[in-house]
Amino acid sequence: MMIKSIFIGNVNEAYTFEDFREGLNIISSDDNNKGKTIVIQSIMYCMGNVPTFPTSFLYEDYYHILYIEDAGKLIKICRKAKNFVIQNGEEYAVFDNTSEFKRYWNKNIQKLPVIKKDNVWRIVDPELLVQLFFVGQDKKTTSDIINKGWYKKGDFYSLLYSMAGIEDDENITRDVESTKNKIKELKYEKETLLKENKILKDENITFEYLSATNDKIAFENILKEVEKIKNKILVLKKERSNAVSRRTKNELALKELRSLNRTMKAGRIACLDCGSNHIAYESSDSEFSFDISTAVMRRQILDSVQEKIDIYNEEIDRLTNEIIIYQKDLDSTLQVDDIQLEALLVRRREMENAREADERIIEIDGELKKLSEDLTKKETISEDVETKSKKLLEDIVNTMNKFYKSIDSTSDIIYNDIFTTRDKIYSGSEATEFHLARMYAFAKVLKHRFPIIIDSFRAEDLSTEREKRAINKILELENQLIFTTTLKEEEENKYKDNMLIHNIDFSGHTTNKILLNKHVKRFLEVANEMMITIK
Amino acid sequence: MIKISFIVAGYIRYYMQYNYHPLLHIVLGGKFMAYIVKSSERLRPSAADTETKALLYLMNFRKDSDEIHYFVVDFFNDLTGMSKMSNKLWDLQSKGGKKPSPYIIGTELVTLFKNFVSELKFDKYIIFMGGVTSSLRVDDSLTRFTISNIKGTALTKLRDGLIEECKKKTYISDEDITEKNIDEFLKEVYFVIDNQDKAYYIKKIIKLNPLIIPGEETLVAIFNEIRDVQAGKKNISVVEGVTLEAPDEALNYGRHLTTTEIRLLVINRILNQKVIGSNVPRSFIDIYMNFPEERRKNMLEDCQLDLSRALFNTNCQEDFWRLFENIYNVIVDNPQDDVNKLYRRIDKNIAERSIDFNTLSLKYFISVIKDGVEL
Repeated sequence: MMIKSIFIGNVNEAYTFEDFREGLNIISSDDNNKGKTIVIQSIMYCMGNVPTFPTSFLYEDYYHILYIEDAGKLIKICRKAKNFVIQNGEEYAVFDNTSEFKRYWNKNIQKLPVIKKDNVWRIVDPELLVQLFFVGQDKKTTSDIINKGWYKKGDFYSLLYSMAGIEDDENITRDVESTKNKIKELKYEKETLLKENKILKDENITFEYLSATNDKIAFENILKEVEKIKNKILVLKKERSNAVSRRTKNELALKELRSLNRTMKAGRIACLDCGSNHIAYESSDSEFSFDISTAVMRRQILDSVQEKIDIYNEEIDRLTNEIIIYQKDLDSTLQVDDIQLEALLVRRREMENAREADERIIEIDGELKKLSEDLTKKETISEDVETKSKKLLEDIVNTMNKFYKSIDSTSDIIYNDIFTTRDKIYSGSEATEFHLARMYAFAKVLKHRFPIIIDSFRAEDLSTEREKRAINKILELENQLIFTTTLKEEEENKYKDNMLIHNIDFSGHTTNKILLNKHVKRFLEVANEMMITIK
Repeated sequence: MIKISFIVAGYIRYYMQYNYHPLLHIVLGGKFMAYIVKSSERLRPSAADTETKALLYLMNFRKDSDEIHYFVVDFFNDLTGMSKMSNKLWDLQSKGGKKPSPYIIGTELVTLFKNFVSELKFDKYIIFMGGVTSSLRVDDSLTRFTISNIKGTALTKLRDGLIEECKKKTYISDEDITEKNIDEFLKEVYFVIDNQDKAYYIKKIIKLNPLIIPGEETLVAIFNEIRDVQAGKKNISVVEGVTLEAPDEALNYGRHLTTTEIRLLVINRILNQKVIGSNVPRSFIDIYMNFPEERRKNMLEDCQLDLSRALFNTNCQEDFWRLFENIYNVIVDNPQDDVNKLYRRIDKNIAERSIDFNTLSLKYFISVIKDGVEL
């Protein structure tokens, strides 16, 4: 798979770049804020990633179009906010969520890994998948996955196993019986907590209650913040109910389709004199001898409707999770502000207690889910899978170490895992090397086809010698490589004469202004080709 | 024209000989003439495959294919092509074997010869074969030829085979087996060798956008569907001993297929491979983009569900095909029109009968067909 071109823009301003090549591409500039990160983030955004654009860049105001070449086919992806359009040959597909996007990708472009999450097999979302081949400039951490939230570290391991074709993930040593007991205990605890804290079931805590406060300014601030979050929750809830209604509609359709497939039975004609049904009837009507659909077609349709329902289910899950996150935000907003009214204090204390209970309940829910998952896994996991998973991780870690040794033979650091432990986080050039090693090892061991994209690949001053060795090593891979870096004055033209490197120089861009009016024409052309009207 | 009346002849010959074909059997007795249809052989799958290939050959591979409208199955012969007004007949005999000897080929020609000497006028006599031995042809590269491409020795054997077989058949009167008749007949016979696989025959039926041509498997499935319907025609009604006056009456027995329905079948099967999904047909994009953004997806999904319903609604089969035919014709006749214009050209009486569609979903359906058919 190869990134070909990227187009970012709207009717007023645009940026286009159409010369990504195979092998190593290094985007460089002599100064910061020349747009490297915007280009990289835009590529990732089109691939379904959660956006991490620089805050000054209002990415939702622009259309992002990416050209990818895969197996000789040109695939065009356009994304604006949550809407995607894909043009794959003559085929157009549109989505308004990543669940559908990833399913399309899985079906039409490339098989994606499937992992078990909350006891359901799911195709991994792009936000986790891209961590196989992408390191962003910000939010780098060596001890955990990026954007921890819905996905956890464990899911990334599962993703690796799935990529390597290993069926199941973790090795669970706990006894089935003790797991069951634990589940029982937790359920009991949850019940008790709910009984004790009736307020959690009370849905009528509104802000009218707060309006009694004298401190108007403080109150208004809260209100503003609350309003913001409330609106977000509202939008999410609206989306969720839409998804629910669409799901219902599809479910109904599924039932209806099944019933339509029954042919009505009609009586037949028989001669009353002799009882013979050997009577010819010439129908002027039956001009057509074929059925309108075959069993195979009908099966396919039923399957697709079922898949739609699955997508909506996933979407509903995702939205529910987001709503939970915002509701937590709402809670903490109310908590931070100090409001003096006694009544509010009383209420707040009550809430405080309840919040603890609430948090505990969420924790319990999480644990319960995990435990029941463990239980099923425990029952199905085989030793074979265990050894295979172990072997895969070992392979990856060994490859990482080999890579590291080839850059820095003097160091005594030895990687033990694909993540560092929480108390031992690499920083500075060590972190840079660690990320490079991981990207290299994933590609080498899993043999994936994705381009490897590293924003600011020599961050924190990788020495020139080490950089050279790292590049030589990473060039062993067949994957396309897109790196970015800021060059110091004395490094100017550093990559220009290197035959192995396709240097893309951003130095000429105006600082903080990568999108220009002169690119709009080309940008609109590209959008038009995809039948997208830019307003 | 001879004044024709029917007789239930003093004898109805009822042959169940293995390699016989249903025949329009003409018995000349005094001034009476009767057409008696003979019983057919039970077909093995490979024979049935060859018959379907023969049908598709008639439909698509001849210069005069456009004139053929009906395919009458197992009536005059294995297969007989008929023009729309039943005034032109293409008589076809198929032979599934891979390597029949020239002599065997000769015997296979008997039913064609039978029709040649009958009172009915057949325009073409075609034998469609699964293969031939290397000793038959002068130029081995030709797969469609007349006796001019048959080697002298092989032709003698072929001729012998035909004459012997004619003599065996009681329904060919001896006075018809003349040197002159045989020679004239052989000059008329067109030999066709099948040298393609099933998928190829299906691909030729309709010009589709090359990007949506499905895989071999789907094409073969469509082929088999046609084959099964074609084979099923043989069981539709009892035609043994049936007598008729003129070729057009053969259509009264429902043992025929039409080019239209076969073409529609193929388009339908190919275009409706993927009904549900996020794909928007190219021609539908304008309508889609004009729709309020937040409701677009729902609208698309509703259209797709409507189409699914129509495809599932086996009780409205006739209406669906008629609508499909109407849409197809409108699109082919007006290639420049956009979907909205096409929609207005659709026969509203037909559209109305297809209860599963509404305006938008019908436009969606039109778009699907428009994008699939290459104009």
